[in-house]
Amino acid sequence: MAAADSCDGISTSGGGWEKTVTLVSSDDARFEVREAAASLSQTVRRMIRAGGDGGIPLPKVDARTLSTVLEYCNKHAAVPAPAPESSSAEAAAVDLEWFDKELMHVDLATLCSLIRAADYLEVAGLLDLTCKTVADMIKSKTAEEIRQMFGIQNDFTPEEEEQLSRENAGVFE
Amino acid sequence: MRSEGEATAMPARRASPPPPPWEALPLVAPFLDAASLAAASCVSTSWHAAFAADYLWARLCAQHYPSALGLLRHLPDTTDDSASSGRCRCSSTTTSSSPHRRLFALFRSASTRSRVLPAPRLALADVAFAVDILTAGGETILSFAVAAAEAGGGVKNAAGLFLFGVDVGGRSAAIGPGEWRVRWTAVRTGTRGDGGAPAAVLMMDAKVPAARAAGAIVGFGGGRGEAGVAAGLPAPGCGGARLEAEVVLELAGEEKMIEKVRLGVMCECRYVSADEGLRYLQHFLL
Repeated sequence: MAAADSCDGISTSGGGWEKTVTLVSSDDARFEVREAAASLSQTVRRMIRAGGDGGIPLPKVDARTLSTVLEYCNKHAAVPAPAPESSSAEAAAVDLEWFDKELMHVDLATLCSLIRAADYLEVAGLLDLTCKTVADMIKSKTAEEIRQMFGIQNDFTPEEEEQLSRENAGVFE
Repeated sequence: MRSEGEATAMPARRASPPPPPWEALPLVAPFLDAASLAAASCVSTSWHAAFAADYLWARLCAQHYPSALGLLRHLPDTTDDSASSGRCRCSSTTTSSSPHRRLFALFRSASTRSRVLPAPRLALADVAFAVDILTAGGETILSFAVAAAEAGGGVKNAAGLFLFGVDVGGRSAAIGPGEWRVRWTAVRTGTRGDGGAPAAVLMMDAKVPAARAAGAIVGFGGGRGEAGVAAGLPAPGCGGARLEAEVVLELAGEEKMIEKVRLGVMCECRYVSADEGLRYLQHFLL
């Protein structure tokens, strides 16, 4: 990763200096990131364009969540533009898929803060990935199983419950 | 930051992860299929708000049943129905399903309906058969009336089929050498008291030439044989497979004593199921 905390670093191809930006989490942790990686977030990209110095404040994302988001961005920004049919591109895609899978091995609370962060930061790939992961946890479970897994109280009245089961009866089982 | 949320299967009052924040749910919803959406919307009121949203179901309708969307404005708004059935109005508005969800459910059930015919509304217990076997001259050879439910006995492989057998061995009736005639009437007796006057429909009124019975006797060894007749049944409405009523007499001896009478409904030379037969009869008897 690039070292200099300056906004006039010059991006060169082939592993030289790359332009970096500094992101500041809600709990004031500072993250220095390659601009190419940070720009996977549309929100950050807009803020870079708008200019300003002293780092980009992200008041809705805490340090722990932001570090995971940036892990994702760094990995995904590093992948070169896919050259179709080349074996190295294929290997990179497999590697990326594996990386994504590993990244999603977190608890539910983390997953949910990642969804909110990805939504706020507008990292489309990460938002898809996290939402899909939560959706897969919900899929083909009964309402009761979902309540247990997510620790949710059933707050329907008996009448509402009866109506729901009547509407689902025979159609969605 | 806490890391206790990893817990999955701790029996006693585990520290469950905090419920996913409400605003994350609508983002997850588009990734779910219809059945999962339906289950998720039954979890709690806030989950219902996120997963029962009409736009989700509109999307599923467009994906699975695009033509259904054109029907939306032709369908009644059933919210009023359920509210008027005595339920408290406030609860039914929170959980009643949206227009597109109802539309999706309608078309989803359509595919199961086409596979499973509805059970007949006419019960076998309400049906009786009256059979007259007459000579060509109009004299009665044999006549009987029997409840369909009591006429199952003694017919091989009749389980579940619209095929009935009545033992008349003790009646000493013989069809003799000449032409004969059979009249079979199905009657809804209405004894179970679900309302409605009794109704009857003529299943068959056919003449059987003497030669056919004689031939049948020869075909069997030991002086036993069968003589039968089949006749097309009136179509219940328009089209449909053509059903036939069949009456078979089991005969014995040179005199052609009638031992048993079999009554059945056939479609393309196979007996139809009891339900199929009842579904046919209900067109005329209900």
